Amino acid sequence: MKLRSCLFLAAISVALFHTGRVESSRRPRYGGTVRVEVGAVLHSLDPAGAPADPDEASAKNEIDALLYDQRNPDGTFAGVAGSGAFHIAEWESGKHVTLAANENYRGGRAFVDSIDIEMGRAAKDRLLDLEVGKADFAEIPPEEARHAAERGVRVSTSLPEELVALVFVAGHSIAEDAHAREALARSIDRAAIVNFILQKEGEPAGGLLPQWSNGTAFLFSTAADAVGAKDLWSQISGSPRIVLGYDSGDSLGQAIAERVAVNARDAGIVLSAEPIASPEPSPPRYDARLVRLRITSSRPREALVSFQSGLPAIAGLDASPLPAAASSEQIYERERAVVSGYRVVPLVWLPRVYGLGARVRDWKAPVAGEGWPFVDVWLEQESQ
Amino acid sequence: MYSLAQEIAVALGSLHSFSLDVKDVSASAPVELAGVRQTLEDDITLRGDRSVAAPADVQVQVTISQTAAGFVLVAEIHRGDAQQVALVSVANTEELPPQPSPEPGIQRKIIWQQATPILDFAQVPADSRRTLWYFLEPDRLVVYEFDDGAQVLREAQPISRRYTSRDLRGHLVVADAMNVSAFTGGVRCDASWNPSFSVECRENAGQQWPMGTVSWTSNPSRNYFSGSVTFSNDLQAKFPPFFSSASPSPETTGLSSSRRIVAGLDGQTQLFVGAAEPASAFNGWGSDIVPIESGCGSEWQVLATGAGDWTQKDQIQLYEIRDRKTIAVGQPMDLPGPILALWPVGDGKSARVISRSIESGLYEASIVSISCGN
Repeated sequence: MKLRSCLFLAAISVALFHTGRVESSRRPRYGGTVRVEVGAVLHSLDPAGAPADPDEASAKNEIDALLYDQRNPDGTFAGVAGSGAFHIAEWESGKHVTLAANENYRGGRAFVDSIDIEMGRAAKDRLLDLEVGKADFAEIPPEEARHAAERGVRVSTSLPEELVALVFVAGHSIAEDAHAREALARSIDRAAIVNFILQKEGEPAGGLLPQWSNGTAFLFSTAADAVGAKDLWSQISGSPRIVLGYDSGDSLGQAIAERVAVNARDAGIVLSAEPIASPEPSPPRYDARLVRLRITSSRPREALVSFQSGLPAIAGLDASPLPAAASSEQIYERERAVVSGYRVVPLVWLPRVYGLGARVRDWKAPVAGEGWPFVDVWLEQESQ
Repeated sequence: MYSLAQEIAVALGSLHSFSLDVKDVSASAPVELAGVRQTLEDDITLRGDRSVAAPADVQVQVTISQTAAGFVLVAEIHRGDAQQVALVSVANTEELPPQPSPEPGIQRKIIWQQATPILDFAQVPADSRRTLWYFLEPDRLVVYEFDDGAQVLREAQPISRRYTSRDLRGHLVVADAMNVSAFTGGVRCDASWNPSFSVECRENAGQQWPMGTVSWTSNPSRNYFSGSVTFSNDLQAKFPPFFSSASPSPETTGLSSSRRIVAGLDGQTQLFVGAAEPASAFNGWGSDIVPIESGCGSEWQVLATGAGDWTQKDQIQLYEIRDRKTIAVGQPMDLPGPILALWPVGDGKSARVISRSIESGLYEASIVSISCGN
């Protein structure tokens, strides 16, 4: 314990020594390079190619948002790379990319001169670099937010914008049993997932959209009902068993799946949580899997449409597109229709968590659909 | 509200009695729940010859919920085991019309609030009854005429900027009630009433912005001044690039106007006393400073904004400069958001402040003055 304390103090000392004294100001200052670290490894910024890996796709999307001035209605970027606030100054495939401020950007030149993005940095390395002042910005896994703050890292949290849900696989006999689906959905203690696994950095989810989006999340129950679950499960004949799959590289998914298994066992449900190998076997050996879906728009209708397109087709569900001017009530009804059959079981909403260096100023956590706001961020000057 | 009452009334159909409860899960709805409940009860009752009763045929739970775009009124209508939901969205007002605001205190008088950014403003008496208020926005100059406090005219003319900046600055210089000049984005725009309101913009050669008896050279694609200060006799003094600057009034302080404080780009504020090198430097001030003749004491005084950034609330502090040192005088005045502009008023006794409320997002134009206290 003493050794750990000493190491912690040493880390703080290194951070103070490295960053120096930050001068005060108020009005944005021009200049400097933002040092960004990401976990993804990108081998191309070709606008035609979207990486299959969600982390890589997310990182590419963030970079594209800085390079392009406009988007198409479907969210893809329009125009020429470099028409946005930044252009590519250096590119080293799979290692790093440097973006330089576009002097003629129509919205006004960004305050920082450049953004240096280092790829392939593991979460623990990103956190350490934030602590010692080697990085100005890095995303932090939500479950690490509290730990990061305790270690002195500036933490900025977005509104909840990623849904973790359990999706049953159509055609599997247990997945086709409505009692089994409802029993599992009722058995899950979402509050425990938020409190213990996410360290309170998230919200229990009963519907697809978070409260800030359509304002109706409170209408969906998130309470656990082990007694009801047990009763429903007991009505299933034979020796039913559910296999719940999660992505083998997703440690948070694994923790949540294992927690679901604990809740299921408490309700008498036989469930095993198993990693999904890559490449994925066909047909799938799991009856349900954990999915993570990110909201792509702050508008509820667009968010729900993108969720629906990311989920497997649900038999009997109205798959017609929501009207462009869908009312809150229509959105709620569609959302209720999706979750009421328990083929999709929302579990929790996650925010995006950002770690910031001491010299980063005017940072506002982006809302869903917005990119990293580096065009308005500026850096305090450090005294020499 | 009436739309929701209508939806509830339709859902109730031919049922004669209902009970109603209202709750607020947004925690920020600008309404009284008791008032909402009464209004809804009255309206639903009137719409179908119904009565509020306990026990009732139907229980109605109305919830005020919030989204990123505004509020949602949600009615859950319970009849036995059946439940029906009705929703009505209430969008946020995107742009509130500007409204004169009541005076909040003796040191800061809020003149105006609006959703559109304000770069500068000027209030000019046209005659004993009428007042003209000019507001410089990023893309236009707006003027309101008030007669005994009532708005009688509003005019707006576009401004064609040559440059833009993500921290665009602008400055109004009033010649008289009918002639005002605006300086922003590399242009000088002269506005006049002849007889109608017109604005003519041209490139601001030399990028000079008049600041009382001197002028500063602006960097039109940035948010700062180059450091050149030009006097009325065309002599120039060079300072480091600055966000703002202040010099004492020789008449009231007896000090030479060669003394100057500049708020530099590095966050340091420096005092120059007729030499190229600073006589002293001080930290902890914000980027904007103005000279002020408070009438409280005979020392050179300035108002300065606070340190931090634009995601934080701000403050204004009065300082005296004595023997190359600064002394904070009195308590700072807190503002509900960052100060975006701080310019001196012509009389030297007050300052124009543009700030943005973090809570409401509205831009506020206000006048700050000093009361000496007794």
